[in-house]
Amino acid sequence: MQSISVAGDGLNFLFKCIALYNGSSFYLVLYLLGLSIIALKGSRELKRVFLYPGIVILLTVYNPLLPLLINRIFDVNKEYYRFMWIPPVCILPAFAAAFYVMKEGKSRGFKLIGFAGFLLLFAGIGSFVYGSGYVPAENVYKIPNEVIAVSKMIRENTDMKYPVAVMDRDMQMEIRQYDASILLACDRTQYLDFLGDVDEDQLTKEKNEYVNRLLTVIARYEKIDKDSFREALNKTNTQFVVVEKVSPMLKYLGDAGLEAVGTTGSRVIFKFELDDPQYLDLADYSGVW
Amino acid sequence: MVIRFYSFLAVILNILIYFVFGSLITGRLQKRRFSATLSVITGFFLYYVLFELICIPMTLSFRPLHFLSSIWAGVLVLAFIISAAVNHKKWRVLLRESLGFIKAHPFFSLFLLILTATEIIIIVGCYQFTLDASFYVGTANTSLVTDSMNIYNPYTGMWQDHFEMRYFFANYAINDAVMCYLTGFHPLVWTKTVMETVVIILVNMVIYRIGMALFKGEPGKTGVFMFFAIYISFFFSTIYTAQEFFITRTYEGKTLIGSLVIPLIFLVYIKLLEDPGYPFYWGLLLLMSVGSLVLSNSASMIFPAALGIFMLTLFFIKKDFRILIKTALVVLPCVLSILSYVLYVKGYYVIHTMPG
Repeated sequence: MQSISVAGDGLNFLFKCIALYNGSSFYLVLYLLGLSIIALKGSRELKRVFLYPGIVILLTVYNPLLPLLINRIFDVNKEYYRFMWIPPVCILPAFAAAFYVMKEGKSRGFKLIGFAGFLLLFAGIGSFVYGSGYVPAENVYKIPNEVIAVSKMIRENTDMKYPVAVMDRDMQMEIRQYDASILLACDRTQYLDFLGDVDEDQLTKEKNEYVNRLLTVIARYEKIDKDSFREALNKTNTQFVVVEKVSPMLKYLGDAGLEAVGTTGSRVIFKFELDDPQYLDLADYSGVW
Repeated sequence: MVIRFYSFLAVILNILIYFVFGSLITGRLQKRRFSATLSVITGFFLYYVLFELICIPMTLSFRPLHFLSSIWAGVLVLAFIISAAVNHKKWRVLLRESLGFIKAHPFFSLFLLILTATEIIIIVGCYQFTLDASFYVGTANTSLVTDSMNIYNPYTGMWQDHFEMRYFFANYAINDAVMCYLTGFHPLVWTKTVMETVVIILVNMVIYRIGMALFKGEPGKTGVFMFFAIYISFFFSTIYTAQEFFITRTYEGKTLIGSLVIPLIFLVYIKLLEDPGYPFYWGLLLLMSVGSLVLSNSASMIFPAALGIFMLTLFFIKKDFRILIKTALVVLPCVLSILSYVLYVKGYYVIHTMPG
């Protein structure tokens, strides 16, 4: 939850957190409704199972003061929503639905109508997880075929055991899941912070200087001095640059001296001849054990 | 097709391993029926606790992954031999009872099978892109490629001069790497197909047991309850809900906290309402406390919070101070984990990845 913070939102943090957590679904409302019905009409046992823990949850997790208190000790800005996993928000409606649908003495017609009614209700108050489309996995690895193609193309164009590359965001996030012997010039946090314009302190700026130069070109599509870009590639030992075909930087990369060694469905793979290539290998622990 | 078949066998193998581990505990329970689902669930946590006990010293002594894998293979074989020796009679009875249950409730059994199979086909068959996969699958693949544990940065593959303590105890992905080493699976297939399927089955087992507890063992009502619970999980979807994590990020350790551990705490709470002093469930909670830390570092805060809420309620109902004392003891591993991380962040210590 990057858009909210305990310090900035104060007591409103919780309400904003609830709003983001629930989105357009009304399961929390249904859960509260269920607790209210149990409070009024529920048996002693149901009160013990659902109502009393529900009250404790409302007094703690859903207490606007709690994030303020916890945040004094731990930074919970991004992760407070995980406490909202605690209430059995889906268990209670499922229990209520099964209870009414399977009520003894009711006709088969009543049960069927009730069953269909609950299906409609649960779909209507929520948002379908595949609402924006169901994308079947392309292969057994469950990554795009293109990731495999890029990996093979890099392998075919290097004699390094552990070549270093920099890529567009999505490819960067998936390539090492398939081939962990391809190294990346920058890590996930660096990449995302750069894209998100997160302020870096002076020490981090200096540490990330060369990586930031690469990302300025690859991710932000800004032209920097070509010598400066080549220096960044050399300093980070980056031999491959993978960008999308639609990237406006294709000509720039060619002009900077990189050679397009191959293309896949939507990517172009560029190779850079390093001035002084470092043939990286694994750290030697044989002396330790 | 061949990989899918082997994946199916690996799923069976995993469930069997958990069952074997769990039987070591559930097989010793007196006055309680020996339960297959409870054995598998208990075994899952015992498995990861034991793995952690072996993995941490190996990591600290910079042993390679293949060495840990060999030791772990030995542990698995040993666990099977011991468990078979002490439980084989119970297993035979359980098999007979299970077949009897299926014969007595063929429609219910078939319904559960179809329900779970459909869920698996939908979830596992879908392409899942999440940024965190670069950590979870990246860690397993990096460990496998570098024959090491937690020494190389999973995002970049670069050597790190010290262990990142945030993930030091969360060795779920290291276990994935070990199993890949032992079975020959690619980490992507292992995490996103094999373990994903295993997780769906485990979560369904917990939902099944919650249903049986709520409906006093009535299969029909439990079946309908399970259907609705699973159905709802496809509709309670924002990028933050546990249900969304379960469906789109099933292979991540923290998914297990939201979808398996918290519902299991709720189930244990229901059981403790009947008998708050029953030692087995407190033992299971302790296993879950340590085991959850292996699954995800997020557990260090969520587990104590979830357990605290349900056990505080139990305390108010039963008015027994021993409940609070036991709860404090159970969450102690999580508290120690938080403490170790805070000390690391504050700069009190660092563990280097190369001695000297």
